[in-house]
Amino acid sequence: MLLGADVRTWVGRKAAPLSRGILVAAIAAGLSGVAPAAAQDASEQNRLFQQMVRDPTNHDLTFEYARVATARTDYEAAIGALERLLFYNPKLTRVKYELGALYFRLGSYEMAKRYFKEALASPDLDEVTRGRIAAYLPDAEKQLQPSRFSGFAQTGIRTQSNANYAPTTGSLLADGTLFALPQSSLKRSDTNWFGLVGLSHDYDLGNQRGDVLETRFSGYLTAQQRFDELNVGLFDISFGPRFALAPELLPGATIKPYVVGGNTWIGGSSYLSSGGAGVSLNFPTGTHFAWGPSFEWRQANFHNSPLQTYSGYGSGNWYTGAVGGSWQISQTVRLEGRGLYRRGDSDFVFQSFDQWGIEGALTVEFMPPFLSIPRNWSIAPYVKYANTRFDSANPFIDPLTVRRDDRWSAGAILNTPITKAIGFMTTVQYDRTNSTLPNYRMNNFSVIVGPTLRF
Amino acid sequence: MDARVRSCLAPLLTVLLSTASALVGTLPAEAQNVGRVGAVNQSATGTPPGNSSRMLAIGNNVVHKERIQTTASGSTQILFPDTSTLNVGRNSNIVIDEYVYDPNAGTGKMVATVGKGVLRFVGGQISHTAGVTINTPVATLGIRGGVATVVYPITAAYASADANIAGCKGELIVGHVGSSTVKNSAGSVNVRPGFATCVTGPNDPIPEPFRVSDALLAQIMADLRSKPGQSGGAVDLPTDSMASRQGYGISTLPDPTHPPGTDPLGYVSIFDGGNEIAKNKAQTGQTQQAPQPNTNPGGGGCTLYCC
Repeated sequence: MLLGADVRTWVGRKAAPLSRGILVAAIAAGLSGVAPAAAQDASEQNRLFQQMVRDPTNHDLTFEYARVATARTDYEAAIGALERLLFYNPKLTRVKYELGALYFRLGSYEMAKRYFKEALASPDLDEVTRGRIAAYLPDAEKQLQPSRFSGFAQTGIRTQSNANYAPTTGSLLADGTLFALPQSSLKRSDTNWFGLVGLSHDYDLGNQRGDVLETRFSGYLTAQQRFDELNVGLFDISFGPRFALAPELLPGATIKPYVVGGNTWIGGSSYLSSGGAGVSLNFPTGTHFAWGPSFEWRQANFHNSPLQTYSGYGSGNWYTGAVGGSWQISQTVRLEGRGLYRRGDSDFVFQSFDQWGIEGALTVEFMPPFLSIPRNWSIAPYVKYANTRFDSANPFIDPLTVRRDDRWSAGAILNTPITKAIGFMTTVQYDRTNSTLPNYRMNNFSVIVGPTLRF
Repeated sequence: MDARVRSCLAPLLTVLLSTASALVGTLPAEAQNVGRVGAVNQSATGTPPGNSSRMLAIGNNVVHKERIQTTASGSTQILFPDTSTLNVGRNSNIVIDEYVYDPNAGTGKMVATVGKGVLRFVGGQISHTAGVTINTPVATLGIRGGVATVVYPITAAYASADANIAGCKGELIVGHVGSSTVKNSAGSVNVRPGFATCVTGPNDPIPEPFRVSDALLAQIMADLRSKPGQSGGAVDLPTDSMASRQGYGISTLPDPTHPPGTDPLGYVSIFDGGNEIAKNKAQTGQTQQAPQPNTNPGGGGCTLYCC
């Protein structure tokens, strides 16, 4: 029978690959079912289209066709079908609302607004549809403004099983000698309060290329219950124009040069500041897929010089190249992924590194339990992997062993909006790092819960 | 090539051809069906090349180079095999000059000429590949991956709906979705979604597009829709009850904004950013607390975990 520390050890050794395996298997299973399901849906839409052409005034058939086309994100096909129903009966309030929703999804906010207003003007509008329009009409109107500000915020509690990031071995190397950590420094759990905010501002330059000035800000603050020396604060801000590459030949393709900077604090002291520049591109491919490469340079400056030689990372120039993509598999299923390579040239050669990583998330939306909730709920399992290889051994840790880390993270995010603006988000994540040095072998299980705000 | 389109064309053509057999007495043998009438308010007529005009009815085929005309009370919707639709409003006169669609390659070509009137094109497969061309007396409109509206000529009702076209007697082009490119002998202008431009003549410069007003859209929609008492040719009308039974009227929409932290990987990366900082600091302190040779500028003391 496993008890106490044994259980924790078992969990650390067995549950990590198990949970990781389950998540990877779940995503793989989900994706393996996507292609046949998509083909089946396409076949169903074909069948309905043929029947509808044969019998255009079979209204149930047309409704069904539009429903299937919408689920496949073939919004234009659904628009054609529903606009025909309005030919037959211009008083169809619910159809007007759905047409507004379809144009909204296509980014045609002026048409969405018009259809929403027509539906609102109908005397027989039911309360649920009225509530939907009350939620989405301001969104459409906001998107028609040249200056658009929006934000996301969350506050809440996070618990971690290894809040002090202690090595799972209970020992570490220093100057090539293995030492046992004192009991007080072994892996310990902790709870922290956190606040997170993401802000974006888009300024539409009003030209026919659709060029936009984008500003992005993210901030994060924690207050640990036990390890207050590990309280973290950070912000990151970027600014740059997003230019259309060739609106006629490549609709939607954009390039964005930008400048970026940020600062972090830990234990109340400034710890790392960084600044740099980058460029990212985005290429919509077809109606369901978009991808793009990016490159970013940052100069990182660590401020705690007394500890610098013991630190895993040091001041220097970091270069990151990445390729990301998103695939809207259906109206409610989206896969996002990113692969990156990073080179860090630090002042100390043993802090210079090569890193590559890959990450992916599958978001599955579903209807909320109450009709009064205007946003879908979603669950998003994700996995992340990073491999980091330093250029040489750190003589202050082990002059004979070059540090190489493999880090896995797996988790899931449950997003449950309650109103248009307010919701609740729950995240579970498991991290595991394997390293050639015992100092950096660790695992950590965290749970993040808290209310969210969108504006 | 989208399997949906590939597999739908053959049965659709079968349907079109079988229906065409009923019209064999009125159409020339070589007439090529390109679309089908999905809705029609009278009066609306079709004139196939070399034939006399006929009143359009739901289910009629539209053939290559057929001229579609509507009166002040007429309107129609035409369905195409690539799932495109063309809504033709009142007082219109258009010709489907060319419609070629290869479902195996997923490509095709569609060219229409508007003599006058109001029309909205809602794109299907062709507009997402090669594009669709609509010729008018003053300009040519190219549509890629999208939805666009054409009004020609601009009447007093339109001119009074939007100050931007108050003095314009020519053609109004509104981009709704995708890329709409307007060309004439004076130049070329891209009209992005939500914008419109007014072209006064084939040799006149195309003005800078303006954001389309809600009043102008209301006028366009009024001209593309059935008038009171009209039912688009249907006998039994669809109702809101039918729509309700099929789940219409309650669909949800996503927030169109994407501030940092609203996508799963971005959200996690913010927490990970904080974790990396805390981890770097914590592990540095752990290593430093082991007995050290005198290499620490700070004197080798414990800074993080020593009490």
